[in-house]
Amino acid sequence: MAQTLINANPTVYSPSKTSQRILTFEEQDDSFEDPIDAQEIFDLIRSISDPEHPLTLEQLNVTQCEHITVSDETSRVLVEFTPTIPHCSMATLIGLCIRVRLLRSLPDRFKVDIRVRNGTHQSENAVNKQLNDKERVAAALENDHLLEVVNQCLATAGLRGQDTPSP
Amino acid sequence: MTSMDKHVAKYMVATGDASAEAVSASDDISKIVNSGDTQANLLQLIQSLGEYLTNDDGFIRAKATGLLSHVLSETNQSSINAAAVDVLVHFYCDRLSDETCVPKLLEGIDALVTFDNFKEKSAVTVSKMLFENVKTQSFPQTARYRVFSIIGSLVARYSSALRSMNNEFVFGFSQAMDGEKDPRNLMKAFALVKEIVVNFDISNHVEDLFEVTFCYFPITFKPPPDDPYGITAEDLKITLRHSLSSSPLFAKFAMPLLLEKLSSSSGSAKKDSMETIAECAPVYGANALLPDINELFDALKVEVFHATDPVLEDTALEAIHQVVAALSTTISSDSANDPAENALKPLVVECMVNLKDPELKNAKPAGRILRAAASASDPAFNSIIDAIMPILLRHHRETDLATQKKAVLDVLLEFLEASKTLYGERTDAKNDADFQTPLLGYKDRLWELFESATTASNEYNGLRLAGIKGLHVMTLMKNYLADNEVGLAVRTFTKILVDQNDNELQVKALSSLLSIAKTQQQQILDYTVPVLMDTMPASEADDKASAHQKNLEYLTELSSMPAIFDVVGIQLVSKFETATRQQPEQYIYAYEIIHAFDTILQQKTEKQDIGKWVDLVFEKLFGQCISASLASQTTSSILDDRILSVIASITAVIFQHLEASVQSEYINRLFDIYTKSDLSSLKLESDHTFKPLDASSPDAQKKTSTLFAVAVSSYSRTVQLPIASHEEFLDELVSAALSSSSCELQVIALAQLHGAIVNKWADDAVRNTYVEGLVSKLVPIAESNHAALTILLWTCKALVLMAKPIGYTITDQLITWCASPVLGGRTAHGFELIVGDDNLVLNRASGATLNLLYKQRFFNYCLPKLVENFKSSQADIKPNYLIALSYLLRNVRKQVLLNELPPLIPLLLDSLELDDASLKISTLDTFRIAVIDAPEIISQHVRRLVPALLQVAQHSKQMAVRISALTCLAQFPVSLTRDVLQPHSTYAIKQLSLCLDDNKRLVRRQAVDCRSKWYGI
Repeated sequence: MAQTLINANPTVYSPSKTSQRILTFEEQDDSFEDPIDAQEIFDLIRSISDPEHPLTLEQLNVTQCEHITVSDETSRVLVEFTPTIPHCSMATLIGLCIRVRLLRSLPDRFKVDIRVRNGTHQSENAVNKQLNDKERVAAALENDHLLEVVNQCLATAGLRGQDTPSP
Repeated sequence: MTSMDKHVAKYMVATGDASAEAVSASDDISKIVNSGDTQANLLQLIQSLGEYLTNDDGFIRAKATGLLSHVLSETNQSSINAAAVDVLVHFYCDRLSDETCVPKLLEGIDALVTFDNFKEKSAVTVSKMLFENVKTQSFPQTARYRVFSIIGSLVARYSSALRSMNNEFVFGFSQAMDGEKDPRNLMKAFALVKEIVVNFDISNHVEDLFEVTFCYFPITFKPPPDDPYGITAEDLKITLRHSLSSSPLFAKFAMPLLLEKLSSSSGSAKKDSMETIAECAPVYGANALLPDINELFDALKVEVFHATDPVLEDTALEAIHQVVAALSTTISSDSANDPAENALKPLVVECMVNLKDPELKNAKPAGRILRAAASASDPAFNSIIDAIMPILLRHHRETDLATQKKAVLDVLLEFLEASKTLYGERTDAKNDADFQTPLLGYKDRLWELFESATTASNEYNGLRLAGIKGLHVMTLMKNYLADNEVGLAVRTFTKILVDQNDNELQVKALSSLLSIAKTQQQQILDYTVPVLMDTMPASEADDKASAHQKNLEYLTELSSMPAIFDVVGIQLVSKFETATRQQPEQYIYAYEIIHAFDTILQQKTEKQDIGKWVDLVFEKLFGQCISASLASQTTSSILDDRILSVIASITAVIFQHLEASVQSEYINRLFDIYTKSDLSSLKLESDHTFKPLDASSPDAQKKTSTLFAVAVSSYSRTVQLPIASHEEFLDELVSAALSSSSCELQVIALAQLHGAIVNKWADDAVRNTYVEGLVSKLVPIAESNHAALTILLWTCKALVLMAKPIGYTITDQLITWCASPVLGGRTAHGFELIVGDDNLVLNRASGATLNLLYKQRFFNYCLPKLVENFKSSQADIKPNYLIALSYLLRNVRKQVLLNELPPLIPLLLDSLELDDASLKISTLDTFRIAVIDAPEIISQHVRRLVPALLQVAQHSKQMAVRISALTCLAQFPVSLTRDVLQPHSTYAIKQLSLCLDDNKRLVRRQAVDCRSKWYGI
């Protein structure tokens, strides 16, 4: 079992608690408007499970809040992620999970770009191309087996960095 | 022909042995046998049966035998003498070769072996004949069950006699069990294996017995869907495990097989194997474990390092723990070549390798493995500590990275925990000076590491948290820290509470203090309490960063210890007094202090703990309130409505917990104060007269009626109120309320007190007359006098609690009023008051008379009327009925609600279109509960519900409503079946995408969660 893993013993980062959003007065008041920001996108994807380990993308430092750029006015999102090792063959799958999560969780008006962070993967360009090609993503999701894997990784996404689901 | 013959004939001609005639005949026979001389009667029965028992037709023989067996099982056995039993035993055993009869014969033998006069010799005969003639597995389940039951009785009572045929018995049993498949029989058989191992020498048939037992491992049983026998796979696993762990002789066969199953791909088989190893290890002992030990550790280790499931990981750790404990029981003269230590070595080495880089994923499991192993025995602990400690300490020294330091501390923490498990906690009474943790030698070093971690000037919380945890565990360990060192830890924790701004650290520090408080209260009282009190400002104006809120929270938590509350309570009340006087216009700070005091009291359960505060509350709080109400200008914030309501809540809980005599004394004092203006018991003097019930008094005085009302309402029925008569006093209350137009608080207070007295009034008839008079007086003036409705509502509640008819008469009036343009709104909301629980008066705690099912009765009474009125009323009135209805729905038990739900669904759907937010939320909540608990009802309405809910989720003005609608929608995919939802899922998912663009973040969040649930259909 151990041999089949691409990275069997990755470094584990403990999520910093400071990155939890604190509920503000404005958020609870009907008369204010809350724009979609990087933290909100990060909350959506931080607890996606890694396909290899029972750890989240945040714990493996694959996603970081600082690597997300959002513009609510122009409806654009850029998510950059860092594979745990440069030859990680799971990078596309991880990117696909992020893509699907955002497809399902963001309003249609957003244009979402998902990229591997510069210089963190051997075949950066190929991965980026695959992830941002609408048709290839759609085709991938036609594959029932692949969809099942993606859904499994997304099962924990609702935790948003918490240990247990909030009520 | 005797009567016995007749009955026997009747039985024999009846169809089968389970038909009504057969059963009644056999019961009659049992009765005859048991009346008079049982033995003689039995003889007569056998004579009557004679020709049938020897009949050529096997079925007739079997039927006759069945009758005899049945009678034997019901008979009054003690009156049958030894000789007769002996004859019967021989009769039964001799016929065991008659296959058709065997099931019936077994039934008889099963009865016979429990007889008092069944002798040891017979036990041997029965066993011999049974094993010789009966091929157990060729018979149906019930017969096989009889065999196990017979063996069970024999082993339980005659094992010493049966030892004369030891080998034959053991072998016979293993033959009987071989191939058994029924779970009921297996439960019995597994238990028997253990009995036999205990009572017999199995050494000659170890392998036979082992094979027929182990072949069931691992259990893969799935109970049939309706599960008629209530036997679960877990039951079977546990019984089987007990039988495998019953003898060390099984070890040499079991270990290789268990190891093999460990590598199984099925999670449940693995778990079962590990649990079995954990249970068997102490029995099998070191010598049995040593040959395969490396392989065993390897397998278990993999489970921890590559755990997919925390349950499996814990199971593996427990197995390691048990195995190491078992290894350590060997006594070895030569410590260098101790086999146990050698066995442990490769495991420790591997963990050491993994700990070299404490930040990597495998470090944590390595720490856990070491903890499991170290906590197993003293030698293991010593050898592991000797090997690992130096490495960890060096690591810590050599690194400057906070994350790495934290990783090291985490592993050290595992050792502290292991030591706590093995060498005991502070609270353990047993004192064994020799049995000391080797960590004692590292005490100063560890203290320094953890203590410096708590103060690490770094953004990184993990390190500080590890520091707190470390110090905490050290305070718990037995014979570890000296008292003054615990005191130092207390100071460190307190400092974190006061200085740090991080919630996580504070929570941890507080929980550490709480656990220290259990054994070392004085330390907390000496240091923590004064610091927390002193850092609270005297008034809100001096308050920086509202530190007081946190401090109050901490004090509340710590006050769960009575001795701490004794000190904290007094100080809180005096802080409160100061705060109210220093800033009369500001209420918040004082409110928070007194609220904390209230919270602590509400959490107490001991009568003593609560009642003793009555003096302080009476003197300080009541005194303050009344003197403030007499002052000509505002000198204190104590009369603020919110503060007053907290004091009322304190009053309620204290008065409810007073002894009757004390309660009576205080109630008398309050009557003096409130009705006679006699303030002497409070030692107050004033130029103004205190006349709160007088219409002309200022509002400040009127307000304080709340305290009077709440205190008196709690009166116990044994207390005599100082009033001339009920009617007179109630009339006084009513007229005071009706004339107190300006002070709503007083009206409510008086109405509550009025209600409480009506409720506790013992004389039913007089009460009825009084209430009738009251209703006819109040109804006509209800539209002109605000107070009239309030009084009626509380009176109605008082009577509805007891399910009195007159209460329902008032209810009818209220339902009519729902349609009134003047009273409609207030009346509809009044239903909440009637059916909801009040936390001050007219509840169980305050001693009100209440009928257990009053809510349900009220619900059943009102529901049809409300629905009918709803249907027949104008559009602008309809909402009132829906509001009243929603209060009923909120307060009735779920089961009742679900029963009444189907006809209400159209109404509820209508209420989603109204503007009232709280009504909508309540309706949405009802739907949510219904989706969870009555999916079959909701399934029929999905077509209308889903679009309606989506509509609310998209277009409601209030975010709370939108969130409720989404929460409700999110429950659909969880509770309803796929085929119901499938047709709507595309639509729902599409519509939900609009909610993803909601302008409120909290709504978006709920929408995302909801949508991803719908995607999962």
